[in-house]
Formats: sequence, C-alpha cells, structure tokens
Amino acid sequence: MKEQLLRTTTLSWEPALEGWLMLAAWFLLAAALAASLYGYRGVDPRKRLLLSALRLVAIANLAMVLAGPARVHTEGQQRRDPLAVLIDGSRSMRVQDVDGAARSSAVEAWLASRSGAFERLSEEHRLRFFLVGDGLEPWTPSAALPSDGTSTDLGQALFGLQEALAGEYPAGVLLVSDGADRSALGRALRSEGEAGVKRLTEGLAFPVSTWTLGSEAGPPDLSVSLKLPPFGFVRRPLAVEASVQLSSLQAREIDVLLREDGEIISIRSLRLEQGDPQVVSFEVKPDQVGFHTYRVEVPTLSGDAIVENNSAEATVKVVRDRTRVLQVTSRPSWDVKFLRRLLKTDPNIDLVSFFILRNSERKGPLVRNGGELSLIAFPYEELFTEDLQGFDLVIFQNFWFGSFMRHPSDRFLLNLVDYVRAGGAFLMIGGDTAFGEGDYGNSPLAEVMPTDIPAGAARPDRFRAVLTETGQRHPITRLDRDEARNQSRWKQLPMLQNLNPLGSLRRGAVALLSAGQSGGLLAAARSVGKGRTMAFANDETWRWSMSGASDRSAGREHALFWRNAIRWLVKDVEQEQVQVILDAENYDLGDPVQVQVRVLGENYAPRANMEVVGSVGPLDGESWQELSERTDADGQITVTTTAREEGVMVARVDVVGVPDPFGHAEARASVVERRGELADPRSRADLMAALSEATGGAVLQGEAPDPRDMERRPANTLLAMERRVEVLWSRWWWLLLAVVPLGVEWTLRRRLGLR
Amino acid sequence: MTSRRKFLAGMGLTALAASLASFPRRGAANEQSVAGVARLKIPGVEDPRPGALADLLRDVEHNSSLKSRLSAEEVDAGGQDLFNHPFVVMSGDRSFAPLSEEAVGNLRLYLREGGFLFIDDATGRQNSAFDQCVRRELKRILPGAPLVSIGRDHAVYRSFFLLGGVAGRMSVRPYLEGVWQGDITPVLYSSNDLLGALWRSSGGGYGLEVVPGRERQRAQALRLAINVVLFALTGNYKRDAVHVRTLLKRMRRQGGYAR
Repeated sequence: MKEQLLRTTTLSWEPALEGWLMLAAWFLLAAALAASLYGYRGVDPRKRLLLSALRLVAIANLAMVLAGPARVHTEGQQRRDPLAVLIDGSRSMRVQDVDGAARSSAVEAWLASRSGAFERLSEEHRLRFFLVGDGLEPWTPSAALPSDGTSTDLGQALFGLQEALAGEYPAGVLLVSDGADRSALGRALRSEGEAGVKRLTEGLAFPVSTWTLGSEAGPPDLSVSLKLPPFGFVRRPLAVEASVQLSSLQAREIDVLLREDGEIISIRSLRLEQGDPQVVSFEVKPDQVGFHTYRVEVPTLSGDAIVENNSAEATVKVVRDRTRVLQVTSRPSWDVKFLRRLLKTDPNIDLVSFFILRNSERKGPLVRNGGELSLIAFPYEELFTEDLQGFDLVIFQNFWFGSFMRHPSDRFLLNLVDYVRAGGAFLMIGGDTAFGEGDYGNSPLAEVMPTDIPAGAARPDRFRAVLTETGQRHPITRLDRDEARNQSRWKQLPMLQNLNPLGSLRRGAVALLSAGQSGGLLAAARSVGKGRTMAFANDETWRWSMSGASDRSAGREHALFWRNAIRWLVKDVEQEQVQVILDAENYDLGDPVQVQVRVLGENYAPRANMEVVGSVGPLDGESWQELSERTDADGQITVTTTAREEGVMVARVDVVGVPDPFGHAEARASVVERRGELADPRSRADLMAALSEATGGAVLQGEAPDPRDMERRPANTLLAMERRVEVLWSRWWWLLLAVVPLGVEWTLRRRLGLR
Repeated sequence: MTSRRKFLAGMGLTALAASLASFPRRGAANEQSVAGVARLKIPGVEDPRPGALADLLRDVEHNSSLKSRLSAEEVDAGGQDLFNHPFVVMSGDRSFAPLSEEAVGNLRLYLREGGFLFIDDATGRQNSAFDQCVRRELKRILPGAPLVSIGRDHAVYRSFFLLGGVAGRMSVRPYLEGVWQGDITPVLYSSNDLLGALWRSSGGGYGLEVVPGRERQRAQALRLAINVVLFALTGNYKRDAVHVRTLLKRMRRQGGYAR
C-alpha cells in the first residue's frame, strides 16, 4: 500500500511564560479577581453579579492569552507501524509434548495453517518475524524453524525489539514460546509473582500478546545428570554421582552406563521410580595424571520426550596427590637421614626407602646367624622390574648398583633407562659409592644422566654452592621468588665438603650449581625422552637443614631445594615448560572459553616471540578457533573463544622449534548444556500470561489461534514532515473580548458611584 | 663389557644374603659419607666413660655398613659447632649447674632442625643427681614435650638388631625414655649406664662389671648401643610398612627377640 501525504490541523497551546512564571502570573490574576469581588460588597446583588461576571470574563481572557492558544497545522506521511511476531527458537522447543510432536513442529504447523491471517495482518502492518534464542534474530517463515538456542531470555528479546526495528515501536507483539525462561523474567515470577513481571516490563511501550506451547506438567522424560568433584587424584578413588530422574514414564529397571574417554568402565542396574531423582554412585580410580572425561548414559525409553538429556558428561582434572618415591642407599649417612626425614614427613610423598645396613665384608661377633638382625632382603629384582613403573621418582643416594645384585646389573639399569625414557624420573646423589666411585660412567645409566661421569674419587674440597646463570631462574634452585633474594639465600648457606667429579653436560642438560665460583659442577638436570634426570655430586646438603641460625626461615633451604627438585623431576604441572591453561574444566554451551598458553625455556625464563600453533575445538571434529601467534614478552598468549558444541573440547598447542613432548601441551574440558533449556523443560503458561497482563496484550489459546486476535495499536502513524503554528490570541476579536467587558464594567461602576 | 669388579659382584655375592652389600674398593678409603658422634660438654662434668663412644663407633662399623669417624669430639651446647654434629651424646655421673639460656635455646633449635640427643646416666642409680638435672634441663629445652617411657615397638629396638628390651651396665629402669615431636623421637634417655657396659680400660678389656647379667647383658647392651647409633641415622626406617610385616614374622618364628 502506497503511503499518502496527509494534512492535519490541531488545537495546541504555546504559553507566553515558562513554568513557575506562568503560575505566578495566574496567581496574580486570581488575586486581582478576588480583590475586585471583595470591592463589590454592599452593592445590589444583581448589579454585583453583573460586575463580577464582566471582571471574570476580562481576567479569564487575560489568562487565556497567557496560555497561548494556537492552531498547529501538520503536513506529513502516514506510515504503517510494524507488528512483531517473536518465535522461541531455543532448545526447549524440541520437547515432544504437543500431541507427541515437538513444540517447534507445532509452531511450524500453526504458521502454515494461519498463513492467510498473517497475510491479512501484513496488509495493515509491516509484519516482522524474529527468533528468540541466543539473542533476537530476524527470521522468515519460509525458512526452517531452528530450535538450537541455548537459552531463553524473553525480557532481553522484548527490550531489544525496538533496536531490531531500527528504533521504531511496534504496534504490537505476538510472542510464541513455551515460556521456559530461566532468566530475569522467570526468576521475577518465581520470587515476586506477577508484580515482578509487571515491574520488569514497565518500560515496554507496546502490548505483548502470547501463545504458549507445551505441557505445564512436564513432558514424559528420563533424564540423567552428572556430579563430579572439581579435581581428582591419580590412583585415588574418585566419586562419580549420576542423578537419574523419571517423569511420567512407566517405572522399570534400567542399566546406567559409565564411560571414561569413550570406554565403558562400569554398569549399574537401577530400579526406576517416579518422583525425586535417584542417585547412582560410581567409584573410579584414574590411573594417570591429566584430564579424564566421564560420561553417564541411560537408555531411551518409549515415549521419552527428551532424548538429549539421556546422557551427561563432565571432565575432571586429575592431579598427583602423592608422589611415589623410591630411595635406595648403600650406607646410612646424615645426608640420607635428612632427606628421608624430609620425604617421610611430606604429606604429598609416598616414600619407600631401602638402606643397605650391612655389607658382606663386615661380620662382627655380635651376629651369630643373622636371625637376630632386623635386616630384610632387598627386593631389587621386583623393584627394578615390575615395581619400577609404580614409582614417580627413583633416588640413588650414595648407592652402588653392583653391591647387592646377584645378576649382572645391566639388566636392571637398562630397565631404569627405559623407565626414564618412558616418563620416569631419576636422581643420583653423591657419596663414596656414587657417580664415578660406583663406576656409573661405564653403566647403561650413563646414557640418561645429565653429565658424563668420569672415573675418580671425590675431591675433599670445601666449597659453597653457587648458582649458575641457568640456576638463577631454574625452579629447582629457586629458594625465593625474588631473584636477588634467591641469590642472597644461596650465598648464606653453610659450606659443603667433598665433590664427586662430574663431566661435560650432555645434550639437553643444564647446569644449576657449581662448587664455588670456579669449581666443578655440583648439580645438573636433564630432560631425556619423556622423563627427567638430575645429578647432585655431594652428600652433605643436610648442613643446609642445620644452619643453627635463629631466624625462622633458616634451615628451610634443604627442604625447599629438594622439594623443588622432586617437583621438577616428576614434572609437576606448575613446572611444565609449555602450559595450556583453560579457565574451567566444564563449560556451558555458549560460555566464553579463555585459553592461556605459557612458554618457558629450559632455564624457565619466559620465551618471548615463540611461534605457537594450535587449535581449540571438539576432540574429534572441526576446530572452533585456529591458533597461530607469537608469545609476548611474558612468554604468553591468551585467546578467547566460545564453547560452541557439546562434548569434549580440547586446546592443543605446539611450540614451533621445540621437539615433542616438551613443545606440546594440551588441556581438555567438557561442554554441556546444563543451565537448563532441557534440564527443566516444563512450559510456563503463567509467565506468558503475566507478560500479557503486564503489557496489555492478549492471551491466545487453542491449537492454532488466529494471530489477528493479538492486541495491537492502530495501524497508522503520521510521520511529520512540516509543522506550522498559528497563534490565536493575536486576533482583533480576542482584544475586543478583553477590552469590551472591562469598558462596560468601568461605565457601570461610574454610574453606580463606585470607584 | 663387564668389568672384573662387576663380575665378582654379580657372581661372588650370590651366596650371600640379599641384604648384604659390598662396596667399591676406592670408596671405602676416602673420607666421604662418614658419620660421627660428638659428646656434649657439660660444665663441671667430666666424661665418665672416656673412649666408650669411639669404641662404640668401631663396633658399629665392624658390624654394619656404616662408615664412621672413629673419634668422638666434644661440642659446646651453646656454640655454633653443635650444628655440625647431627648426633650428640650427653653423659654424666653427677649433678650439674643449669645450662645457660644460650645453650638451652641452641639445643632447642638443634633438635628442631633434625639433631638427635642421646642421654646416658652413668651413676647406675635411680633418681640420681644427674637424672634430676637431666629432667630439669629437658623441661627447659623442650617445654611441653615430656620425657616418657617408649614402647617396645619403637624403631630403636629394631634399627639393626631385633631387641626385646634394654640393657646397660646396671638395670635401673627396664625401658628407655624419650621425647616425642610428632612421629620423631629427637631425644632418647637411658638410665642404665649404657656406655659403662662398653667402656674399656687402658688394658683393652672391659673396665666395669655388668650386673646382674654379666657378659650376656654386656652383649645385649652393645647391641642396644649399636641400635641407638643406627636409629640416629635411619630414624623410623624400620617402622616402614615394607619392614614391619617381615620383622614381626621373624619375631614370631624366633619366639621372641634376640638375646
């Protein structure tokens, strides 16, 4: 319909004075009138009435002049106001509870059956369709109706409508939804009732009519949700709780499946009952550090309206609760005692110690047959074969491998080499049977050690441990976070004596400490294969524990140093050189995901300008975000993406130029739809009705209501193009109306002898 | 290629118990990995058993894998040198004046940082003047940590020999006493003149008679003294789970403890 040019004239007011000035003027006029009337007392009543009327007409006329009566002539175009039809496109519209069909299917059928009515409406209004889901999106009924929105926020959609209509107010809105809104409006209805909805919709300048789909009692459904602790410990029981709820379906016995990383690891039978959720508890023991994804599944029963909630998934980060350490030594010493004391009292460490307390050359007279001794056989065959993998760290503290083995020791040392290459950790500490003294330079173990091991006895020098350049930053030698204070603490440590000679650094190894400023190497560390090794060429660090200084921090260096060493050796996550950190282990669909990548060098200084490539996305599938950036001055990259798909997501990065496994890192998380589109899909007709009531809209009912029953303002609005104001009080007859009554009154008063 | 030493180690030791060890010949000669014991100087109290500690260390080295410094130095309780000796022995046969505040504070720090103190009453009498002074000083050094009798399941009774009880030159108290700090016993106290049973005269023979058990009791005392040294070095090692089961089985099999 072509828009016509229209002219209109309306009466209006153009006051001569503003605000309180006008009030003051009117007050003065009223006072003048009152004074006049008072002056007519004692006059004949008929004459007084006449005089008062004349004065009243004159003053009223003056008041009208001040009010500024005017005629407004407007010329403009007539426009058809928009009419908005908002259709819920969220996931709860998938629920199949409209005569067995999905709510969205019912909407599609309604749109088809009422196409004529919509055509009629479009003749009167500019008809606009929108989808309400993750925001407000224009839509056309000829397109397929999606139902994949992850949330329903009706308030946000209605208040965003004016912007979506380019600033225009609609003549009316028809909202087609199940009303399953867990946002502001839904919460307001629950907490404050209809008054809450009215309060929140006060700013809406258009009537909202509603048509509600779905069952208020809730659809027939079997659902399961999953509860996991925020993190778990390796080899420790982890409680996985599945909560199963049955609604409006026949009770029966079902199997509840638990999968870990896709594999079924447990099945529990459950006799379903109507009503409150039933909890099925599983206990799992994750055997590796890292991210583990658990998924619980229940079968799809006949009539189940929501199949999407028949499984639930969550990821848990599994950390090492206790580091398992094997400490072996060929003879007890103070250094052995102090390290054992430290490890034994550390709640994060499971320590297995074996000390060789007696050797073959020594048979004192007190020993008759050995039975009176408390010695037990050293189970080295078991320890260095099948048990080896159970340890996170093996410590040879002044230990000579040849001292006890019945078999050629190479077999066990080769096992130890394999163990390190496969990810284990090995630490050799000095003494009179260690390093070259124990002929380790010619053993298979030499291959994985941080340095060459020359033959030769320990040098009996006294020296102070001095940080190398790498040692100043390395986590092992970090006694204080502040670099200067760290240096200072090392300088104050008691001196040590005796140094097992160490040779050249091997490939990938770093020197951490030297014996004095220009002395030999005291400590070195190396990453080998997937594991790590460390050499410490002295057996007197116990002196760092017994400093004898009275300040509270004194004596803690021994513990700090060895704890640092163990954390580095067992690859404590905090000490990985490439780290990927997600800001959560579990996300809701649509949540922002922050991925932080940190790159550190062998010396643990941040590595700036390192090229990092990677991706963020589902475990198997097309990634959401590709990553190809260089690290900043702090060795970091931060990217933010959105959890776009349910399931396991993974962030993988590789640092270009750094070989695996040290250049690769990844982190996993689960993406689920938990906040509730399908968690509680009951339709909320009460919310929809409250919305109509609060905005003056209509509640449409029935299987296929006529959209023309919606409440709406008149179809047309005049869009002004020209406006002219004609002032009325400047006319001659208006002056006459003021002057004539005053003149007549004056004449009468003279005749009556009044002043 | 297998070296001669390794071959011998592999083959020659086959007949030995698995817990026995040999050492590289080079290592046995140097001064590395040596453990020592020092005697705590008490003003006005001479060492009642001079040379007994050195004799004990020799016996320990003779029987175990330990390498020890075969002389016992004397250290001042109030000096910094105390912290160079993780194991000190306090022995006496008479009363002594209260230790200085400096010495008390030093000993408190020493025990907190991992030092070990063994006290031996050489009087051979109950509630002796030395005993009373020791109890007085321990209350000052470790207030709130009382000296208590330690049970037979304590690691000191199995740190090297399996022992069923205590011994010494005399039988004043049939138990050792100790001070606990968490799971650690940094102080052990014998009232039975343990070092007296080991003390040798200038002629080389044992200098004091042991009553009432004579030489059998002396051997038992020597075993206990060796256990005290090994306990100072290994702590509660013999209470680790890997040991406990085997040792309990052996005790049951033997019908008691070594005598």
